[in-house]
Amino acid sequence: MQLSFQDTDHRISRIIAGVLIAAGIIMIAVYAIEGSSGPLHRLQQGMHAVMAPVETVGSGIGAAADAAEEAVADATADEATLTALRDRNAELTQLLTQAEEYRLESERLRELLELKDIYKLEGVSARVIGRSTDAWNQTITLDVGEEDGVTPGLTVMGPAGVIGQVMEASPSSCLVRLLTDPNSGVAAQVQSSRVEGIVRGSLTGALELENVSADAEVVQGDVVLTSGLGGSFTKGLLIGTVVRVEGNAKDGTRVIVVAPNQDVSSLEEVTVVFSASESARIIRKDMLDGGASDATQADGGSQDGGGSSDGADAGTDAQGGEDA
Amino acid sequence: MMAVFGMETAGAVIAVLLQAIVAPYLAIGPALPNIALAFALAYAAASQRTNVVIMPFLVGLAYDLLGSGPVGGMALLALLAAILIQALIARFGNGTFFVPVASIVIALFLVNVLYALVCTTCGADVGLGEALLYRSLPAWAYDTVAALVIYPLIRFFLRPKPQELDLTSIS
Repeated sequence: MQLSFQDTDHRISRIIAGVLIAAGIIMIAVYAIEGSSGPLHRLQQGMHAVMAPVETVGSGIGAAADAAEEAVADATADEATLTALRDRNAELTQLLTQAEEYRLESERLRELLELKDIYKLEGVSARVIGRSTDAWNQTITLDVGEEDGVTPGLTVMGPAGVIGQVMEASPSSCLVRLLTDPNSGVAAQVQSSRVEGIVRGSLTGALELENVSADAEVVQGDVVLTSGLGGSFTKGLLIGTVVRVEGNAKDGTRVIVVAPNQDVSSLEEVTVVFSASESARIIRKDMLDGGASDATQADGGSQDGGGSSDGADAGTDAQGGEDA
Repeated sequence: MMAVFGMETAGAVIAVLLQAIVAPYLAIGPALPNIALAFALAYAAASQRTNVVIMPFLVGLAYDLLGSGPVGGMALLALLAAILIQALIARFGNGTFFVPVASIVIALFLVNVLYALVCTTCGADVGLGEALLYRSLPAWAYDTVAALVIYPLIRFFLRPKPQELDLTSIS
């Protein structure tokens, strides 16, 4: 009798497994075929919107890790000294930590404002509330969405240049594909020589300048900007600096590696760009060095932020080749 | 039996939440742990039942929906991996830790390699070799560590109670 029940149980399990395998294969096929407005993509976007508030919980984990590190450092100090000072310093430490947190935050926001002034940007500041949950995609979630005027396709900037583009927007949050994502592609040009190409992300985390004509000369230290071609990224914004040129342009093996000007993994505040004025072509040397000094004019003309969803489709499509 | 299902469901929900909230901050270089997958496969290995199929599929589907990869990819692979693990344990299991652990490691390797194939087939703009080198292998290593931490915990929680042992011996 027991065996009979087990047989039935196994048979049902096999049927369920078969149905689920078929469902999985169908879903993969549909996902690959359908566009970004297909039902599975929409379901995925809906899930992102639902989970955005939950992901904010995780943003405190980074701070907790730093605090733990500090605690370990304290534990290695002389115990007697620590005991004598602990009570006296407890309250002050708490206040100081809080003040330091405010200071760092204000510094970051000031940098963002400074950047807004330089580029005469119109946009909205946002906090990073979530990061990619899988290793295959480089994305961040921001706490601004359609209610703040954010639409797919808008350029997103950190304190020292472009970091990515809005891929999805829900009422109160948005998902940004970072430039370092392998599926990301942005039309770019070298500031000094005006050579054009496409900056792509890669699995190694480096940015590579591709589709550059073989006779164009690109050297280490060249500044790379968005070119605005394709209309998906605002023109003239800083992407990074050429740090390495490998291979030979003549035989098609040249690889131009571009270093972004900031470490995206530690970003907490960013700006979603609605539009930039004429001065979007102004690049300051200090932005490359991390200090503050003169500005240099790079190019003329103006370019809108590409806030339409069409721009989004052009700029953040999985193939990333549209900018070409 | 209901308690086991309750534990399976609760564990799956916690694993998915950890994947959404904690995993992004546990990145080591290019590797990010797939806590959801590690739980699903560790559970499949630790469970005495041989019909753990729905939970791995749903956990994999949740992972797909949380991320930006092809929906259904991880769901399908997690289900196939769970079936593989249970088949390996049914065939070679001898009550020790070795067979389940080896099955988990093999299954995780296959899942990560096949997921790279699914991603590159579904439009990821990278070569398969690059994907295997820079994503699959680091992810496999990280997932293995996560699964090897989770597996003994599940096995502990699923250990037969003394009353259950008695009933089993009577039947």
